[in-house]
Amino acid sequence: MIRYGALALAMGPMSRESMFVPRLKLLIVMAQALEKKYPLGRWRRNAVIENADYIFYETLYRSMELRQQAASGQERRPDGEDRDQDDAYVHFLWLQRIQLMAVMTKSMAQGNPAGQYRMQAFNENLSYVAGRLDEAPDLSRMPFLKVA
Amino acid sequence: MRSTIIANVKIAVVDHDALTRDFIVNVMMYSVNRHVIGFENARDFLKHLESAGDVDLVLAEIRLPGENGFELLKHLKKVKPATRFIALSSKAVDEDYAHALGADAFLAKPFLLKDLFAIVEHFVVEDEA
Repeated sequence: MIRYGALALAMGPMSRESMFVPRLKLLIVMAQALEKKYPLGRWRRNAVIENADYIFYETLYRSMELRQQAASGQERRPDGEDRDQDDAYVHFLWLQRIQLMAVMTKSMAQGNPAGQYRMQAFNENLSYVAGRLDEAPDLSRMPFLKVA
Repeated sequence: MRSTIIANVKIAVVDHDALTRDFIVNVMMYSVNRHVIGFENARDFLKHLESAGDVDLVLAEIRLPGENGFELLKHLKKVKPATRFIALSSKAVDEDYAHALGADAFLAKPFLLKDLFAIVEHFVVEDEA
């Protein structure tokens, strides 16, 4: 029997929090695959749109939470430490960039036109978002995505 | 060597937790570009199986309400021995029993995206020479 996932001592239920980064990494993979024109297909397209929507609304919710915290003077990191204003703003911007990536990826999956400058913006935004992750996904490890 | 996905691969996900179920369905659907169905419980899945025929791969939570994942695993290994079964759980104690019952893999929660991709690579992708 093959084993995947958390080590025995680290096992526990999945939560909305633990789901965010995997979903975000999936969206990054989806965006990269679209940019490289990997085969899409009907079900893959549906999955991209569904995941983009998930990330969009999740980041919207997180942004609103952050703004509420800022308004009440309670800017805290997820680990409970106080977040200074610059750090909070950078984090807020990152969430906006993720939202933008979700919109862009969904638009590409839906076949909307993407000219030179739109693609440039798409790639720049994708690099920004992926660059802030500890371990950005590597498309070259997923050759099955080249097959429809 | 070229990778191909098993022709007309059928994948089912059984988990009462919608967040987890929807995530796995989304990843599988994207990876294999096929319709992937999610079920809240074993009973609904087995009802679907009666009409839909065989399933190639099942990812099922052990601690399901009603008929649990162990019972589902036992049942499937008896009636559909060709179906690969991936047991999901957030409890370490479930691993040994899943192994004893013949589960093909154990996916310990919380898992990462790369774990799901690794499952696709191992169970769904075939290498053509």
